[in-house]
Amino acid sequence: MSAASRRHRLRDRLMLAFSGFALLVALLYGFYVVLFVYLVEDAVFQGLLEDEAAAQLAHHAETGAWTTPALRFVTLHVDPATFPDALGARLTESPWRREFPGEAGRHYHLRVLEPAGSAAPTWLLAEVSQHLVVRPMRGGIAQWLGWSGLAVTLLALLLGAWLARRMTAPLSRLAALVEDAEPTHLPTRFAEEFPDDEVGTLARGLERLIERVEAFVEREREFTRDASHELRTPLTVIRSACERLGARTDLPGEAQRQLQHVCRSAQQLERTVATLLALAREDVDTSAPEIAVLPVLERVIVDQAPLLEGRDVSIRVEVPHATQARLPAPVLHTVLSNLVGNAFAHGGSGDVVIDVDAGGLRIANPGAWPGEMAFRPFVKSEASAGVGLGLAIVRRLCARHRIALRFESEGLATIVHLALAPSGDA
Amino acid sequence: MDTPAPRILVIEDNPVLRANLDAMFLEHGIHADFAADGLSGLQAALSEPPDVLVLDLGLPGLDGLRVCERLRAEADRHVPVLMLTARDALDDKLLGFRSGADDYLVKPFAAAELLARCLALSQRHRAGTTHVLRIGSLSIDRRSGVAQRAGRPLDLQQTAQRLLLALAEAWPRTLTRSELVERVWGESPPESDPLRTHLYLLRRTLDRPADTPMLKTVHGVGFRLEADT
Repeated sequence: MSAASRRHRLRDRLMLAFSGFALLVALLYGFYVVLFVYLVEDAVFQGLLEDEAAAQLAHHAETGAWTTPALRFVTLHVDPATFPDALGARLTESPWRREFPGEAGRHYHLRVLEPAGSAAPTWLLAEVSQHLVVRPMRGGIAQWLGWSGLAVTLLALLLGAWLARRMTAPLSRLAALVEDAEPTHLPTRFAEEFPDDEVGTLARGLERLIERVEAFVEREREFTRDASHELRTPLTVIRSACERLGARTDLPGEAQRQLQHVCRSAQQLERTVATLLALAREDVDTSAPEIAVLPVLERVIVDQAPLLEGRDVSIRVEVPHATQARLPAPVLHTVLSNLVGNAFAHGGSGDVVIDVDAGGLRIANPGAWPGEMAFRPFVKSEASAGVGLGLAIVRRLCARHRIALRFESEGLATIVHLALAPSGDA
Repeated sequence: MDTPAPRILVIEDNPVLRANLDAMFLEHGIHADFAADGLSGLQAALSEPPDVLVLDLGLPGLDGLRVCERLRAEADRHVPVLMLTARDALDDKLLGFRSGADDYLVKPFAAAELLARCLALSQRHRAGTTHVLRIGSLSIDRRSGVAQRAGRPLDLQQTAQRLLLALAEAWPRTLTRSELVERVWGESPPESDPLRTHLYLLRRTLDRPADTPMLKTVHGVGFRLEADT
């Protein structure tokens, strides 16, 4: 995922939080407003009914009878059965209710009159639909609340965006810096540009970390390089001694076998040193030009041929002249040296076949597959002359250059598939 | 091989490698002088300029690059320098060539490779003195193109002759098919397998009448000449 989309995710979340909160507050206060106006309206009607009730009770105490209510919309009922809109039945259902919506938009408020003594209770019923203040205003209030809620939410969105951008800008800058950093060109001295806040602390921490990583990588690379170079002179000595001894014809058979072991080990060590140096080199060239595979392969076979001495092995190369690889030449040479050398050293007798299949090179040798274990450092096969570093390093080198490398076993043969272009390229 | 044998001076600090190289050169009838450090090597090279100077890069005292630079500055003639080094990065090679090296060989090398390069260097810089390459009983006059084996002229057509010359110049190294094709036909080789017929003809002319075949095939992908004496 790119830094831009990550940054936007952060911004979106901040905006969402801001606007969500604003919407919540707007809804809450809108609810309060509606509740408030209804409560006030109810209180007004209730007040009017209280006044009427006080007057009726006073009149009843004086005369022992009820009088006609002073307000036109209030009626007096001795029996709930005389209530309009079947209110009597609803009152029996919920005797505590004092407010009932009626039919056809009518609305009722109720007040019980309980005169002193043993007189039966009587009801004052106010039909207030003609006097409702809130009902005609309801649409207007809702509209007003809706629009202002929307405005506040929008404002919160903008505020959230502005704040998010302000807060995440240095973070995004830092993220872009880290994202664009190449292993060969790690950024240095960037922490000063950042403000002295949490992001600045992070930047300074990153800078220190990068410095340490860089120093570490450099030390490791130097060590690999120097160690490999140091190995080369003794290897030259071993090789020249092997060549001279090998040219002699008076050596007993046992000595010749030992000599062959020394030679093979030296050759494997040479390959390992070359591979290590290829790994230690930093120049991962992603735009390697096309190179012909066959000349490199032939050179590798000729160089590794001494490994086959004394064994009945034939080599079949079925690679067309036109086969091209898009890999740096030294890398191709190193990888092929290891794979071909391995096929020569570990195979039994029979054909080593090197051909081309879909997009890659196939190296088949009659030896048994070393298994996944061979890719772990220091695991060696029975026939191996050296420590099993070889394949592990080759796999690393391939991974580094994004070259697909696959081993498979087919009966008693091992087949290596090597891609000839970095994966990810069309 | 050329006659007379070239004089070779080797400046190398590893005593075992010196001994091995000495024996290897002697086997091929070449007398080589040795120096163990940069300064004495430089003095030897200046007082008696060799035909080829084999120079190790990592030397005690005066390192190989300095030796090469001072040799170039102080010698009264061009002494061909073959650098031996454990470093093979492009920058290291360029550095070597900038300081005046003519050729560059990365350790560990095959003795045959070192010998071939020494011979090539000594011939390149002694142009005009001799045109005759000798390998065992085979001799090739580069100027006239006449090849003989054990005094018997070889009747070769042009392509086979060029193949033989390429192999002789590379001797005792092995050339791969691709390298041979490139040397004989350059960038535009003919279609199909151009080597098969010509190598067959060469082998018939060169080896059939003799007891020991000189042209060896290395696992079907490489070819080399082997001295028969």
